[in-house]
Amino acid sequence: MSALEQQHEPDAFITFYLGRQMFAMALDHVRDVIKHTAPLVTIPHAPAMVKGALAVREHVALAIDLRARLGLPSGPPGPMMLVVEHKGEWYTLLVDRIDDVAYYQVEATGGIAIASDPLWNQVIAGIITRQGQRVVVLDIAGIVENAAH
Amino acid sequence: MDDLISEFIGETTESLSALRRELGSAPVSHDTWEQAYKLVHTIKGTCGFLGLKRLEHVAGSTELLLQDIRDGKTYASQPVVAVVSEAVAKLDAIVQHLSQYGSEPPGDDRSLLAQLQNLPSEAAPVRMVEPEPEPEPKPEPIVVEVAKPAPRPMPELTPAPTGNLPATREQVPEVKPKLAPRAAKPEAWSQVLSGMVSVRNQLKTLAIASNTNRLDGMIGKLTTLVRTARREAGGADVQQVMVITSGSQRFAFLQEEIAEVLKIKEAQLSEADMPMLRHQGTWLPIKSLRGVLGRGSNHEEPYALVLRSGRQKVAVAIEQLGLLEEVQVSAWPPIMRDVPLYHGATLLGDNNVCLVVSAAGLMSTSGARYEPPARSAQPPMDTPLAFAGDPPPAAKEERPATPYLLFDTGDPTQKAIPLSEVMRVEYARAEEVSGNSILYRGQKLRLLSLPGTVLPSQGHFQIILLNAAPESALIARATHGIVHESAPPALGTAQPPYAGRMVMNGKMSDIIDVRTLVAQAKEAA
Repeated sequence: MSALEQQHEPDAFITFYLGRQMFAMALDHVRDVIKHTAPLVTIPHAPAMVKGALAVREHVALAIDLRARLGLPSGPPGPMMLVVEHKGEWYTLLVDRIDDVAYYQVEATGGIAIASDPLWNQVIAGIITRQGQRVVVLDIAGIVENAAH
Repeated sequence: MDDLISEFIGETTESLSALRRELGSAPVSHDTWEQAYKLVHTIKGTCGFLGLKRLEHVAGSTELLLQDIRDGKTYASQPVVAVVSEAVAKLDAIVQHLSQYGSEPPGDDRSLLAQLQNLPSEAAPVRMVEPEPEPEPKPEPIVVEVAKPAPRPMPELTPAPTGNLPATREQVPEVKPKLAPRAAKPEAWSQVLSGMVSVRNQLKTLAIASNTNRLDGMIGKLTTLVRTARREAGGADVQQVMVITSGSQRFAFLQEEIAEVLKIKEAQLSEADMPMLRHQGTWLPIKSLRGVLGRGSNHEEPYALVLRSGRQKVAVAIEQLGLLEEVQVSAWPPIMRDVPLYHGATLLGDNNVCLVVSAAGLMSTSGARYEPPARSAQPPMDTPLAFAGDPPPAAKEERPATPYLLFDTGDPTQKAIPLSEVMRVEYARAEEVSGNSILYRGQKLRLLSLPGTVLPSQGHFQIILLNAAPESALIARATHGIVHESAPPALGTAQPPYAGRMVMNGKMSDIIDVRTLVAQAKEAA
């Protein structure tokens, strides 16, 4: 690790899977992790990635199919929900499997172009290394605010 | 509401004990009086909103005295300071009890209120009162009535001998300037907002009680201000909505967008390609809620809500009518910004999400066309045909439930009339009444009044037009929404024109036997 990177304190991240791909998200937005059991209230005419709404901790939370949001190969929405709060709005992100919560150094932040796809540039907050594997850190603001469809 | 109360306790407790300390150290500075006034003013406003009556009354009377002290109208002599201290101690004690037991303690504040109100401008001798805390740990909690900020009778509003209206008017400009700085703290916002809401509710009560429309414009402006302020503050607004069920999901319509509630008759529908509903002499587009929601039209939708957005109106056909509820509507996050159909969503009392449909959104959203009851002659085999008079399809109870319209007439007992008998409900003006009839859209209607009806001498009231007597109008002071009730077979003996009595929506209600009523009216005529 370079001296530059060690200036930052490690931050807490939750890592999870969509299919076989691991992603990470800063823990400070995450309010809860719940299993997706109760049927969602469907919202006719909502964008395809919005699977419905549900009540979480006395808030109305929109359920977002993270796989659809990221343009990943389609599959059934994941059975786990990451409950996140962003700017006073509540969302649950549907993911397949929760991996772990741990502290990591963010290795790069901002402006990372993974592919030439602009969609990814909107949603990437950085990169962390977990067990030798590089994992994309998703940016909650990018996911819920720039959701062009 | 519990959240609001605990928030209130959190915000108030410290300020109250600080104020008690300040009042204990003589002399009391002008700044302290100013702070005391603001604090007590906020408490009064918030408690009015939360339905905390004792706090509201004590704070209200204290506020007026503090206002006089601040403005130099009353000299802060020792007895005056003592009474204020006692009032603040009382407020503190009630808030303590509230935080422990979740409700205001029972108690009588009359002597304190009298002292606060009867302090003359020149300080006359007043009994010295030691500030004593008031721990009344009675384990049985009183139910705090917060669910329905129903109009309260006038006397409760005017603890002050000066009359309430001038004071209320003064509070409005005082609140407004605080809206200007955008960077206000959220706590400051919520205080300003609760103050505004309280003022608005008082104005409403006043307008209802004095039966005058002069305040309507003011209330409207204030309501708009509250909306704007809430939006700026990023908070949700408390709105009256009608909650209805479509399919297995519930949807809400803002009451302020509902112009009228109708039962659809074939005669009212046009045969044109685009279904239209005849309403007040014009044709309105009618949309099927199920159609707009993309849920097909295999259910009958025998009722229609006429919704307005600005000057435009649209009718939406629904399966059943619902109850009016007061809810906090939260706007959608940005991800939904391209979906105009909804204002947002709300959590109902049972913690279920309910989508709030917007009138403008309905106008701009297309969907499967509305199928009038007569045309859907071939429903799917497994769907029983529902006729307009039948109990609503979603209410699958053991006993058949009938929808009733609730209203009051000025008589202490609420009235209920089977909705199937109601053609429509309209507003009328007392000025249009002449003798025993009223001019309604160029037609003279005979007024029917139930025993105990008090017809207002001026202002608006409502008339219920009956299917069975189109030339008559039943007088109602106000309507209170619709309930689905299964009336028991025997309702007990009742005086005509009532079929019986039962509790509906928490209130004893006289159920009207329309046939008897109409017969009585014809006999009288």
